[in-house]
This record gives sequence, C-alpha cells and structure tokens, in this order.
Amino acid sequence: MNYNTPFGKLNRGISVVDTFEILQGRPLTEEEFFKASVLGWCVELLQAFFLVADDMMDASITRRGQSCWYRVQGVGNIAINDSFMLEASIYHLLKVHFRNEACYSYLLELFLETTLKTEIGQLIDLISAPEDEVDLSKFSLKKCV
Amino acid sequence: MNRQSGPIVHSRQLNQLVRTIGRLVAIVLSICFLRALCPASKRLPSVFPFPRQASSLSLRASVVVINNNTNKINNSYSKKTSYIDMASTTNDAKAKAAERKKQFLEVWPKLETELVDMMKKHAMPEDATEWFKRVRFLSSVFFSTEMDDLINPLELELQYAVWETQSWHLCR
Repeated sequence: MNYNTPFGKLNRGISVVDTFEILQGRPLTEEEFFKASVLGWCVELLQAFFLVADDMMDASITRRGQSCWYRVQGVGNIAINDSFMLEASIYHLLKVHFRNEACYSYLLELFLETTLKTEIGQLIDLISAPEDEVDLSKFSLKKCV
Repeated sequence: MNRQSGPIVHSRQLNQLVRTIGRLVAIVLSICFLRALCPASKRLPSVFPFPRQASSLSLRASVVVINNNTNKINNSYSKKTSYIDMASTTNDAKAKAAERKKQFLEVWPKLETELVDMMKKHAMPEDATEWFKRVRFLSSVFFSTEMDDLINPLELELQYAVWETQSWHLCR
C-alpha cells in the first residue's frame, strides 16, 4: 500500500480537493478538506490498483521511479491479490468516512463505474495492441465479448 | 536732376534692401517650417544664426525624444514589472500547490492506519509462522476436546504454551 500509493505526482488526488474548493467557491474548512482528501486518496488508491495490475499484464519494469511491485523480491504473483486489496481499501475508506453522507451511494456507483470502464479499456488495450504486433481489427465489442 | 535723381537712387536701393530682407525672411521662415516638419532624429546640425528659434525647436525636438525614450523606458519597465508580476504569480501558484500537496500528504498516515487496523481486524497475522503454529494448536485442541472446555482463554493460552514447548520440533 505504501509502496504503490503515495509516491506519484498525486495530481488526481489533489485535483479532487481543488475541484471541490472551486465548486464551493470559498476556502474549505478543515473537515471539508479532510473529506475531500479522503476522496482524493481513494482516487489515488484506484490508480495504484490499476497500475499494479497493469504492470503485471504489460510486464513493465519500473513504475514511478522504482521497480514495479510484482518485481519486488518475495512479491511476484501475490501482486495480483495486492491489487485487489488496494481496490478493497477504497470501499473501506468510503464506508468509514462517507457512509452517513447522502452522496455515499453515488460515490460507490462512480468508483464501480470507473473501475468497469477502465477494465474495458484495459481489455481493449491488451487484445488490440500486444507489444510485437498492433492489430486494430481486434478492437471491437464482438471480440471483447 | 541731381536733386531728383538722389532720392530715386535711394528709393531703389531701399527697395532692393527691402526685397533682400524679405527674401531672407522668407528663406528663414521656410527653413523653420521645414525644420518643424522634419523629424528631430533625421535633422542635420543647426548652422543657422537664429539661436533662439533654433534652440526652441531643438528643445521641442529633444522634449519629443525624451518623451519617446521615457515611453520606451516606461514600456520596458512595465514589461519588466509585468514579467515580475507573472513570475511572482507563478511562484505564488507553485507555493500554493506545494502547500496543498503537503496538506494532502498529511492525510495519508491517518488513512493508512485505518486500513492497517481494518486488515488486523480480519486476523491477518503479524507473524505468519506464529499464526500457523496457533492454528495447528487450536485445530488439535478442537479435535481432541469438547467445546465446553474451550471457554477459558487463559487456560487455552497455557495449554498452547505447553504444547509449543512439547512440540517445537513439529514447527521447524
């Protein structure tokens, strides 16, 4: 979790806080900043989940200036499960901090929908563009299904 | 005749003198007019013996030049100040972004603690070897005793300690 999450540029996470502040039209209170940051970290966890899995699928070497998680000694294929745990962390944080908010179900839907769309995109990426041969004829719903 | 011719000659000379002066004045006026039209930077050095007019013209021209230069200086200064403003704005934005990132990062340790606590609640072992030994012990106890005997956790811990010392070789 610590290896994969807080070491990027954090643009996605910080943009959640900035966007919330812009929408509010005023400086955020401490509690508002914290909640917006939790959402931002959820986005970063989602990104970390995708990256850990994607690095394995693409057999990448490095990520964010360090070795990919699956290449760390003693990790290997366990990285698959670790990516799932990163995803589970998102929903745990949402439950802890937003369960009593009216937007909780919308947040859940948003993260689930984003996950689905990203996975579809990843599938298209994997089947249409292997490293040695790019074949866009494989880029179709029929092939995916 | 002499009396008559004298004044005639004088009047002719006077006329010539007046014409000459008029020509000179016309020439001077035309030159002054041309000088006024001509840009100061392209003007030749003044050689005419009219210090007051020349000086006023050159003064006017120099004022124009000074004004132009002042405008240029002002423009360059305003450009420099605008660059400085842009730089300071950029620096402010960078400082604000750095501060925002710092505040955002400060939230992470709290979330990390929450997530680790959640995983601990799901009985994830700190030490897998120790965890595996306990599982083996508990399974042996469950299979060998009745459920009612397992109520006391202290007794269970004691039994585990005894079991661990007796069967240490099984766990190696």
